[in-house]
Amino acid sequence: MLPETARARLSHALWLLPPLLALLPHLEGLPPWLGLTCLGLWLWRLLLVLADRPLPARWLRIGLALVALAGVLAQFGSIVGQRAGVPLFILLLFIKLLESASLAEKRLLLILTQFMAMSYFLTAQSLPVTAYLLLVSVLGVAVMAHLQSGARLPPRQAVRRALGLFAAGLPLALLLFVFFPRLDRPLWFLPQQQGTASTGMSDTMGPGDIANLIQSGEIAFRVRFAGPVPERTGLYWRGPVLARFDGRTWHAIDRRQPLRGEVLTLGAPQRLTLTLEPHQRQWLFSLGVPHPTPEGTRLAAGLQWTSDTPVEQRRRWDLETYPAFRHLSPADALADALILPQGFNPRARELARRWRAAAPDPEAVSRAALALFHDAFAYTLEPPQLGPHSVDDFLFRSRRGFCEHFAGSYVFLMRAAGIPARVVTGYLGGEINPLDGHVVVRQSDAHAWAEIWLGPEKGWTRVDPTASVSPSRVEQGIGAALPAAEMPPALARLSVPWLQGMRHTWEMLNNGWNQWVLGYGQEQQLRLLARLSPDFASTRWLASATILAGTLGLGLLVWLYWRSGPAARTDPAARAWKDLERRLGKAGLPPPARRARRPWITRAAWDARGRGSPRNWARSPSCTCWFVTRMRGIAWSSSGGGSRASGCWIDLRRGGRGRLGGKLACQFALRLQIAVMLHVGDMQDAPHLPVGAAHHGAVRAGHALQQQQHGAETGGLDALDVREVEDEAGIPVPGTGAHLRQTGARHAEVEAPPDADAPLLDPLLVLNRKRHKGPCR
Amino acid sequence: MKAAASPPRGLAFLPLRTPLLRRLFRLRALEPLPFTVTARRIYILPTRQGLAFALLLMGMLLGAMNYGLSMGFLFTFLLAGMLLSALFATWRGLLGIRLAGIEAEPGFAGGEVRFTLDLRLPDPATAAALVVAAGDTQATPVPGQNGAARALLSLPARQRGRQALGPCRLYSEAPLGLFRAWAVFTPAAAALVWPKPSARGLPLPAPGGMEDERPSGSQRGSEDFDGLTGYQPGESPSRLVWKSLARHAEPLVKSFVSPRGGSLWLDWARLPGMDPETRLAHLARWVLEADRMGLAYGLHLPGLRIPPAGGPLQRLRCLNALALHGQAAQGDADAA
Repeated sequence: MLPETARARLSHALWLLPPLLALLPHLEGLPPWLGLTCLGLWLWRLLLVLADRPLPARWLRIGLALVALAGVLAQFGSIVGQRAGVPLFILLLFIKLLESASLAEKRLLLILTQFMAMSYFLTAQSLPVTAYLLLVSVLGVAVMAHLQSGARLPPRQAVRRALGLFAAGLPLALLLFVFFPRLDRPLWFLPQQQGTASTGMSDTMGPGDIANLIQSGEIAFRVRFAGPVPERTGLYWRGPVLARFDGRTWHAIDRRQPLRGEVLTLGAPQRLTLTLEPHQRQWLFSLGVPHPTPEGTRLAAGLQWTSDTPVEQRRRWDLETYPAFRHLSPADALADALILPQGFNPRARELARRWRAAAPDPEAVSRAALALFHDAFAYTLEPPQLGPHSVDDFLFRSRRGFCEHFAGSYVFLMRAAGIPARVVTGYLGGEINPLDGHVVVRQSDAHAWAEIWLGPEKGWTRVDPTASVSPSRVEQGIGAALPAAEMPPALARLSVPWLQGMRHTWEMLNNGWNQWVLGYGQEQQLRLLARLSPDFASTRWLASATILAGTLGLGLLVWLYWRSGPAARTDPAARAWKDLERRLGKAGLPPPARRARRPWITRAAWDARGRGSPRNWARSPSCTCWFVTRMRGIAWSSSGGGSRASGCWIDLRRGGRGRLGGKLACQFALRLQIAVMLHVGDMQDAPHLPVGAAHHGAVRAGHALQQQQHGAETGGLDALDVREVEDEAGIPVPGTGAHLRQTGARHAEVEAPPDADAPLLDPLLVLNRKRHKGPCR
Repeated sequence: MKAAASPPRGLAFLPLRTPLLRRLFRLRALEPLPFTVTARRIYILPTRQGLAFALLLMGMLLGAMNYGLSMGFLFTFLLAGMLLSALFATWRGLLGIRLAGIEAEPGFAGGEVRFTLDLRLPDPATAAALVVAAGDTQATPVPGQNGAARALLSLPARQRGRQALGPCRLYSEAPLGLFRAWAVFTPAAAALVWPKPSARGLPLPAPGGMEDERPSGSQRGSEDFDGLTGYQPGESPSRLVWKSLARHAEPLVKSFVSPRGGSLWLDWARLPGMDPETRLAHLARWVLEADRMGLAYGLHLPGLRIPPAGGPLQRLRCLNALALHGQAAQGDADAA
């Protein structure tokens, strides 16, 4: 335990906690000097609080702010925009710590902290990040509540209060989240995010590019098949098509060119939902040819499925895609697919020429090449360096390589033999998550293969040279194809079964989060609305509906507010009475006149008592019984759990059974009657006697009665005048005048539960004061 | 109270005499007690930080829309919901508070009058967040037992007569300080302001000042020792209590009562040639002096006669009479 003063000091520093917690996730992305400066400023402020020292001078804070501005400008070359703006905001917030001393300033700081926490969503929106930031946010609000209470509210209660506020706001938040109109384009120009290029396919393929990509366990996209998942040997996810070779690197076909030639789809389509992770590029991946192409995408030259805009957010498509197709290109496009740079790889050209001379059939040439790979080549992730004649070097010297080596040299050989050929990159296979049935395709599934032209009957045909070197790469995936020593760390984990299971669970959760929460955009919103009714599915409708709902909601609130009188809202007994009048009206009975209320209630209570057990009251259809039962509930609940009242309640629960039970019920009925009378009777004239006080009064009246009557039987009670009871018990009944004679001492005589004293004295005080001709009034 | 430093300024300066504004703010002339804060009496506006929060939320929303941040939306809406429930909680914090009574303590003009507001809170825990303000003063209720709380407001006593408490504001910024809810009411409560006693003036009149009382009342005389009184110029030095000079600033003299002498009457008519307020000031001073000396005295004002007596009750009675002199008609109108 800390000494008292230290703990008090620490509690003064509580408001410093949320900014620190909100800073932590940002630290990784901030330049080190900036993060350290923020931490330093924070520590400085903490020490000032703990030592109870004054804040630094104003010029120092302004100077710090200017230095921060200059620093951010030097680091990012700008002070606006997302990249520079967020760090600057964070830095200024931490400088502001040094000038925050008053309650209002601390409050403002905590509000800004919320903004800082939220700005991290620009970086990541995953499930754990959201959970953490939500925690920070709740904590921020709790600290605000703590500050507002003058630090009197214990931290735990402050957190509870904050949680309560959030919980109360949750329905509205969810409603807004679902129905607030979403946009499909930014409001203002979004600067291209520089330096955020994630790992993924690229437009070019040189030796070693895909081998590097394989090291990453990041998810490229997820697929959910409508039907059963096809064999993994058929899961060639077609991506960029590379047709230009510069001697070392293959370059993709320009996607701005339109698709030329004919595409015939063959066989049945696969229906699937594909969720692509953002890769900042335009190409997309699918199983064969998607048809029809979804909105915002098209098929470009080389049969590359392409998005109109770079994929900057996770996107989802429902596709019908044809794994089998026939693509027929015009002659000039085929001629392009034969071009090879002059002066490179003479030995490979020579070999191809020999093959073509031996067998004019393109398929025979292809077979010869594959046979060569199969017999003499090895599949490895760590191929030796290649010289300037990379294909010759690979084919005749190293003979060890990865898929890009095989695909690249195969296409080179085919072109050299006069057969149009192109390299296709993409992904092969994928991992089925057994929990949700999604096929998860990772960067480590990256692959390169070839397509060769086999004449107009067959068109472009897929050939995978890697399959002839290492069939297991195609059949079982990269993990099985590589020697154990070369296993990339991203894949090594896979071998432990329970880890794999955990990863599956985590990825399923994450995928659900991505699909249903993060991915919830205009498209999903409209789809949801369309499910409600097809007419709803337009943004304009949604916008007008939002405005209409807002107006109606506001109007409803105002109407409710005007409609309900203050008494009806605050006083349960008055509500009960109103309800009673309504029920009587339904039964065709006139409600009792205002003056007749008291005798009417007296009568009702006695009636109810006549039925003996309170259980019967509840069962009885009679309005009066219902009313009395309800009043009982009110009286009981408003007595605030006083021991006397709950004892009374227990009596009542037993009331139905036994000889004694009936008697207790009678007593209770009497108390109740008086309570009701006191309370409802009171409604006629101010001042107001609270239900609780009325109830306690009734309890006392009952006791007084018992003393007087010495346990009189029910019949005896009937004759009793209510006024007498009041007088006897010392209960002030407004309007009778009896209360004016009562004194506090009289109350003490009658056995009174300790907790009952104040509420009963309360109306007396008011009454007496009202009559007292003192200096007031 | 640190939490809420200033009363709602905007309202204090509103010209509430305008009928329209009076109707808008439902200001009745005077509220009978007990007064309960009902839903319609509560006004609520965001504080500066509340406005800042709302602005920031707008910024967050724009950011979320622009960058297509789903979590940004969720976060913004969560905070908006939280803000709304905070608004409700602030409003709820005032709802149902009852002003059960007001004790008014009189004071001298130029001093202060004290009003103790007897509040009943539905939730006693909210007491610390409440502020009651009237005029330029404010107080935080001190919670007692069973939801009772008392707030003491000390107001400068301005003018002799009745001083109404005037419009009171009850406000709270709990739980977050983002909203301020308040209720305005003018409770029918007034304190008496006694006339300010004149600093220096005429000595206490001799007993038996009134013609008709002379034969029967007692009079300052020389037979029976009656106590000590302040020295008046012209008194015999033999009556001086020399020992008292060491302890008291004013010299004291032994006072004797002649049985056949008249009683001490503080009479309006003995102060001719002064304006009424000065007369009352002198009378107030006499009352205090006579009371301090423990004399029995009576007060005679035009149209009012308080028979001689002593003690705190007499002092109160006389001072009250002085406070209300010439104001009875107006006072009745106030009370009605």
